[in-house]
Amino acid sequence: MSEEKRRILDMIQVGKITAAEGMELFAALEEGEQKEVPAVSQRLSNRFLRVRVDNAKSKVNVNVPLGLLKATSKLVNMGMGFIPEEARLEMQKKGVDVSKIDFEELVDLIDKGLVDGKLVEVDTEDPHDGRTKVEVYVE
Amino acid sequence: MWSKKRSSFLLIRCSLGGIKRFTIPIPLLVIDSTLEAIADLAMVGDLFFRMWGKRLDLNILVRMSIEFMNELRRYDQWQMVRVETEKVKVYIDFW
Repeated sequence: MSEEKRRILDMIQVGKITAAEGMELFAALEEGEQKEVPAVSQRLSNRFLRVRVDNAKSKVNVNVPLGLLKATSKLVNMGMGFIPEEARLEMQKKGVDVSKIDFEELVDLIDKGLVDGKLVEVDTEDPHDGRTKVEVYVE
Repeated sequence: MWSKKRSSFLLIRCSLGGIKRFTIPIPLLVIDSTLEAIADLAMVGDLFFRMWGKRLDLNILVRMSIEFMNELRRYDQWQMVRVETEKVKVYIDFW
């Protein structure tokens, strides 16, 4: 049992709060715990964002679990606080206010809207490098 | 790809052509234990950042890093990166 839960029970026991108030505190505590470590939704957890670059001289494959986006969105939100003030103002002049970007919400939108299949497919032919194919897809 | 088994090692394999090749195996348990250990230091770090004038909740940062590692380990054996050029080959795998 966590320290917080034990304290709530102690407060009920000594009559500082009523049982109903204690239940409310338990509910708030559980809600807080759920918010602290967001569970990766099942939709994201078993899908990958795959990037393939293929040409005559090199091949690149990068696979990123989409569940990582969810896990890192909170970190990105925190990282936004470390953008220097001058850079922030510069971006605001250009109409970009990074403080208003909610990455957790963005990931939720990706979760709801991203369907399996190709997102990007580029096929080029260069006389020097030959044929290059780039694919980005979700699987 | 999703599996109930969790990956145990991060393998970084590099081949620089010919016999020049090396593999760096990193036990993920070590990273997990390290993150758990620094969780206690996070509170001290919080004080430092407050003095510096920045608001960074290191507790959340460490917890998110643990969540990040858990997410990476969830898929058992999988390849994160494969880069192959004429001479150099680099692979990053989870095993």
